[in-house]
Amino acid sequence: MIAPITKTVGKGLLLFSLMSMAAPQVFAQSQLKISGKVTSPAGEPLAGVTVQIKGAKNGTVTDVSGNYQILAKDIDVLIFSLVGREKTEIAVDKKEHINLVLQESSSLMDEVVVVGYGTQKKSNLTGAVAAVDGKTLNKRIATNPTQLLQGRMPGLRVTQGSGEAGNENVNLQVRGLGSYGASSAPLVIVDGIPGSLENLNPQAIENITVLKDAASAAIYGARAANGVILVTTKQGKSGKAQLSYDYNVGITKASALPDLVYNSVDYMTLYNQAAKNSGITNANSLFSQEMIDAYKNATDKTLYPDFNWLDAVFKTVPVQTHNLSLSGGANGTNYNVILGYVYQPDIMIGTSFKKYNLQLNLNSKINDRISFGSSITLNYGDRKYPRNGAEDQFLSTISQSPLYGPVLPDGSGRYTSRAYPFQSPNKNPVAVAENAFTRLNNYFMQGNIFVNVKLLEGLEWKTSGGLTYGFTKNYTNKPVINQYMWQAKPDALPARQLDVGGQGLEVTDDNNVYPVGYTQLTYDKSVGDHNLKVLAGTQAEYNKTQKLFGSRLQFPNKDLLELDGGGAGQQSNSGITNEWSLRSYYGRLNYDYKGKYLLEGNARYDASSRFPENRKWAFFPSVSAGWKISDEAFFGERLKETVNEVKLRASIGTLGNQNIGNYPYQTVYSSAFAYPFEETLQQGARQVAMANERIKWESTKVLDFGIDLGFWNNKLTASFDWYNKVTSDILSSSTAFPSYIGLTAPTVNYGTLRNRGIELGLQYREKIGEVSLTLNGNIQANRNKVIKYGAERISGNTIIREGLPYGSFYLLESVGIFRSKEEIASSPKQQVPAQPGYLKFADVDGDNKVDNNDRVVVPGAFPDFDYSFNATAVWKNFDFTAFFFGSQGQKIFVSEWGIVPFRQGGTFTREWMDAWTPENPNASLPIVGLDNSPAANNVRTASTFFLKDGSFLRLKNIQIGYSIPQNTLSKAGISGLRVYFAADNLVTFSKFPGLDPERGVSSSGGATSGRYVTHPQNKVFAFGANITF
Amino acid sequence: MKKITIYRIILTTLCFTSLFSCTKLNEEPVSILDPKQYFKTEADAEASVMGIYGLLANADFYGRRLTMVLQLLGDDIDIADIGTQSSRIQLNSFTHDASNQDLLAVWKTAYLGIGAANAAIDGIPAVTMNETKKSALIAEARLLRALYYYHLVQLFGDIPYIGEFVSDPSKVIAISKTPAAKVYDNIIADCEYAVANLPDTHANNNKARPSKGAAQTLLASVYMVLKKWDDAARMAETVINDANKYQYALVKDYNNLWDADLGFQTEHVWVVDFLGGITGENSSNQDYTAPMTGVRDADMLGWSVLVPSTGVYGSFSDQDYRKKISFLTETPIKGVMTPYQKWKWPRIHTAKWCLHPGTNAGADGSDSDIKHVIFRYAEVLLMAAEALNESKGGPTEKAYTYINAVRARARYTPQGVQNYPADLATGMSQTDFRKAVQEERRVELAFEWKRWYDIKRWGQVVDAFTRQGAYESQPKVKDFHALMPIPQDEIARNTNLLPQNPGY
Repeated sequence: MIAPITKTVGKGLLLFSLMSMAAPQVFAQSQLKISGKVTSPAGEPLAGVTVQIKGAKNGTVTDVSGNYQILAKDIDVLIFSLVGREKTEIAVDKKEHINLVLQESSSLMDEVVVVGYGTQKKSNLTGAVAAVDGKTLNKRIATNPTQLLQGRMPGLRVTQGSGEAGNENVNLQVRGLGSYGASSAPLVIVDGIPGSLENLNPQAIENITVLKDAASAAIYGARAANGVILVTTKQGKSGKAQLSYDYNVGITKASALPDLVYNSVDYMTLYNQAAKNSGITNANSLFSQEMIDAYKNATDKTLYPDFNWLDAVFKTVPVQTHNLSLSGGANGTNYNVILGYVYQPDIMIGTSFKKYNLQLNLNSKINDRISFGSSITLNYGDRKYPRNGAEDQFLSTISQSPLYGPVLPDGSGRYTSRAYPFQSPNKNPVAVAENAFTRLNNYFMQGNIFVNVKLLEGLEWKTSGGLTYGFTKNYTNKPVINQYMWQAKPDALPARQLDVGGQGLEVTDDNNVYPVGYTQLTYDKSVGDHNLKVLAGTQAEYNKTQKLFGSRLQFPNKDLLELDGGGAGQQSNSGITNEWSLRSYYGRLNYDYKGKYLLEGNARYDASSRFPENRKWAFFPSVSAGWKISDEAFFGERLKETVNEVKLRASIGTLGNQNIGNYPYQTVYSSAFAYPFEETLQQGARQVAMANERIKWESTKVLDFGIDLGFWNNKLTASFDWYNKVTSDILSSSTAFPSYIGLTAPTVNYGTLRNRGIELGLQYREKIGEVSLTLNGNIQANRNKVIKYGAERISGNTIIREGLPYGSFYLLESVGIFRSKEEIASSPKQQVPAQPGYLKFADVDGDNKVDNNDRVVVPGAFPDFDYSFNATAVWKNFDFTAFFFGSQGQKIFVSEWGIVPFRQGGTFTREWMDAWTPENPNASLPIVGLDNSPAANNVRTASTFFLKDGSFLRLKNIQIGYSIPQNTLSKAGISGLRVYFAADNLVTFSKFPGLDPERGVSSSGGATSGRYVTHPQNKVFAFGANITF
Repeated sequence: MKKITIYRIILTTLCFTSLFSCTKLNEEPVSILDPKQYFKTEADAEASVMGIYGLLANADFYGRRLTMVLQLLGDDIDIADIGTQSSRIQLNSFTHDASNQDLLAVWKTAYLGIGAANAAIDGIPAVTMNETKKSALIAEARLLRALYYYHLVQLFGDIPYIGEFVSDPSKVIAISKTPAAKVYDNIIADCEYAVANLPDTHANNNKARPSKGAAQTLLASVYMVLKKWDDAARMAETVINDANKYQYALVKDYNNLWDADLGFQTEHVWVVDFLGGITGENSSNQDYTAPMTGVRDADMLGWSVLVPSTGVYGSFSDQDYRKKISFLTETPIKGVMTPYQKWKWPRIHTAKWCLHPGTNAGADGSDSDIKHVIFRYAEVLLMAAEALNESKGGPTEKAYTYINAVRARARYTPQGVQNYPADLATGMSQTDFRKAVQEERRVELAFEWKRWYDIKRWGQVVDAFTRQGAYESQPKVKDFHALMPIPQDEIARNTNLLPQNPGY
């Protein structure tokens, strides 16, 4: 035998279980059989707690219900220990039942953090790493676990673009916008291999780590430039099988909706005013007094309604979540199976999401040397939504007027177009929701296995292989739907057809195969006070995506939703395959002296198929160091009573990015240029883009300084980081390539971005009487700056200019409303010839006329800082959590429907009732006009008028739970039952008008500028119960 | 013993390592064609030429953008729905500038087409295939290149001329503009090569692929622009004399020209073919002409963007059958025939495209079956008549024959042959005949994106919009508007393209 039997507690749980089972025969005569249950302060059973007799080697561990049995003598002392918990000693003293509440450890010394290709003691970390456990994450209920990361880890910015079911549009950003050419999304690793967060069941997550600086992330060199998120799924714990069922129902509604005018008379009155302001005098284009009176004096409100379209489209819905899990283990083999089901109807009609998820985790210790494990995720997502998407549905809703409902009042079921011929609303959103939809079925499988072999004492060899397979089936149905005038006769012809972007059925298949494998050796050695740990490995991955598309136009029956149901006369199809691959060598060296001086080096040598032959390989090194000053003799014991830990950290390194299109250096021909000859499409081929054979890796250099502090025996801990992250040779489409070359611009390495910022995380733990209190606070501030870009570029309302944050606002300054003709005469000439009531814009360059040269850079592209605060309190069987999240300083430019009145003749928010008119010269808002009138064009000028403050602070989640006492449950065979009430987005403080300020980041990377109508976030009131058998 | 065990373990590890390392890093692109493997077979050569057409039959060219720009600039087309994109309104009112997105799109698409043509012209010679067929394919590519430049040089004047496939962009990234005269020389050379190498006809009377006659017609048109009247007359008459060989003739009923379901017609010299119901990628095979010119909120579901200028309808004789065919004054709304005064935009519309976009077209007429005319035989006749009048110092007998052939056809109606328009009587002065041909072109080719080029070459740009009784009054038009500005984006990338065309 080469290696001795493991003695360390915790590593040899199996061994102890076996010994405890064997124990009775040996000690039966003189021993007591002691049993009991170990729980957390919150009353939850603690599994895997080691129970030892002081001075002896034998012991046992608690099962999943926290129960244990051990034989001990009267005079023995039992020691209970668990990673992250306070080690507790209890004398047997004739007791046969010893129940224990195991407090959380005040010392974080033993806490272990998952890092790249391994784990590390938190106290030995030298890089910038943040972690959160699954329990904290699952305080909130979400279908997509990505949402749960918000505000939990300083340095990771999580922006949820929308509350739409199955399409939350969550953006993750580690330490600012890192690139504008290649993707700036962090790399997500699930159980060691590249994976997907959104396809996981949140309940299956054990913990999540974010690697932020070069030192911690360089081991993922090739794709680490934007940070790495490491997800570990829950493994089973040895002990008897435990079945647990979790149920949650959440009453969900929009977090905020604008206050729109749905009184028909008010609407028509202001519409006529707007038409008058727009110079429309034709009586056929105005609401006549007769029409207005019909609504004013209506006795039949079904014919002359004050229809509220928001109520017709936005609903309050119940969201149901079920989770069934089985976990346990014996004889060295542990398992954890979680079956999850979520049914999430959306707050907008016609949209729903169902998620079925099965997580199968198994690990087995075959013998002292070899262990084996696997985790498998199967996910099925079934999403249905109106085919034009939530934003289009929202704007179509606002473009309607209150004069009519979605379906004709005659009970015929026909859909409404409008009430009067001169109205021109967008699509009837109810007709779209009920007929023209996309059904997206997403099948996802990720499985991986690992074998760990202990070769020698300290030397381990681990090999892991995984496969991700994803398949998406998309059915988009665009039937022909007629719309009628509101009061149409039974035999009337349709007023128009529903515009759903053409007609017919489109079916798209996408699939992705992604095998990954790595193998590595680790060597752990301590000689005296010198501790050394070495890791070396190699990894290979290959990715292939394929797409197949087909469509047919004419469907005799709108329920025949397969291509064969349509006429074969007009059909089309297309298909494509893309591949890329990576090969890597990586390594890490950890050295410390007495755990006081810490040194770590990480490196990765990567090759990507996306680069030309001589530029495929790149090397990404990093080095970091730490110094635990508090361990120095000079620190002094007295000081240590107050400040028990001080650790300084510093790191520097280089990371890479290759997330660009697949064939940028190769000259490729596309055959997607069909030309019809002789009634069939002929395949045409041409080179599309210029190839660049000189492109190389985009690189990011990160410098990080950090300090970790512990006060009063870690009652208060703080972690602070300052970083400077510079991304250069940014891979992007050349902006200096003239079109006359006749090819699309090539990808080039050009441009530099800098992100500089600070992160602070605080935790405070206190026990006051019977109340255990934990407070957490995070704050992060990042400053983005374009260092090198070339000639400045203005696109829409934003500008990319060296020295400014990327994509800063570039707008005219709105400086009030013209109140009189005299004021117009004495003011600079405006772009739209001014009238009283128009917005006035500032003449910045002093040439006495307002034009594009008067645009100014307005700050607010990115938030000044994001912050979060979490409080947890436990008292007896009650537990309470409140989680606040806020963002400060970001501005949002909003436009069109909902914020501009009468867009497509639609309704408007209540404050426009105070719009300027000659009779209301001191109005708070400018003159109203119909689309394309000078009055409307004046208001819609890209100016600071519609630049809104996107700062907010919200109570993201609040939860109160009660664990029903054990003794009342055990008769029913139940070992645990907890019920809770929770609420999401209950309170929001913000100056943003009407809708939710929390919205998506700009797809171009810069300032957020776009339509006002974003699907709001959800306000959820949830009730849940967790029962364990 | 112990040592050997370790050795074995390390060896096993290494084997595993090398197993993982076998992932290939040079993937072959699938379904995207690698040029190194490309241009090997005849099919490759064919496909490379088809790739050039994909930009012609494209929403950014003959499917909307190019034709719309030419219509808006001309005095025969105006905008009804003033809510349409501002770039269009600016072109129509001559308030456009160098950042106009429609001009940029036309510029880009033309150059993409030229890039594709250059790739084919430079690549095909290496293919082993029948030499005649090879020359014909190269000729097709060169004629397509000539057509793209024909539009670019007329719209923008001096432009960068790219005559070969760009494999090293640094060579052309800082080039200056090529004088328009030189561009025309190159166009002529391409046309002449095409004349020499293209077949007389294509199978099934396919007019979407150019024949020798199409090349001669384009050449004639270029000579007209250059006022090389002898050459223009010679070339146009060559087409007329060989019309039987090329299968060109006037169709009997002027109305048939506007029925997409009739397919290729004898009058077509060269058309851009669209096939309805199928949308190609990258805007290829997408045509929006029918809804752009169709009636808003009527059963045809048009958009009322491009409509005849207010003065045009009145300028056509009521006796002219072509007036009835070219204009739309009533259309069904909810099944009831409704006069234009009651439409959402109460303007007379054009009828040439929105009425019969083909059975495969979408409900609003988009993605039509229309074969958009590059040249039709009536224009060849009118070119010959005009060129003869100019080159011979007055109308020749043939000149009368040609123009009267066009007028005679216009007399045919399904209800019987009318008297109007009568043949032009001989004995006209050169000036009178010139006016007559100009008027004939205006009426015969109304709205067919010929008008802007015509008023340009006749030197009437300012006059057409500012004279008393202009069909479309645009007070802001100036002489410099005869040329469009070089797109600002392009100048920003290569300042050697300066100076900008005057006036912008």
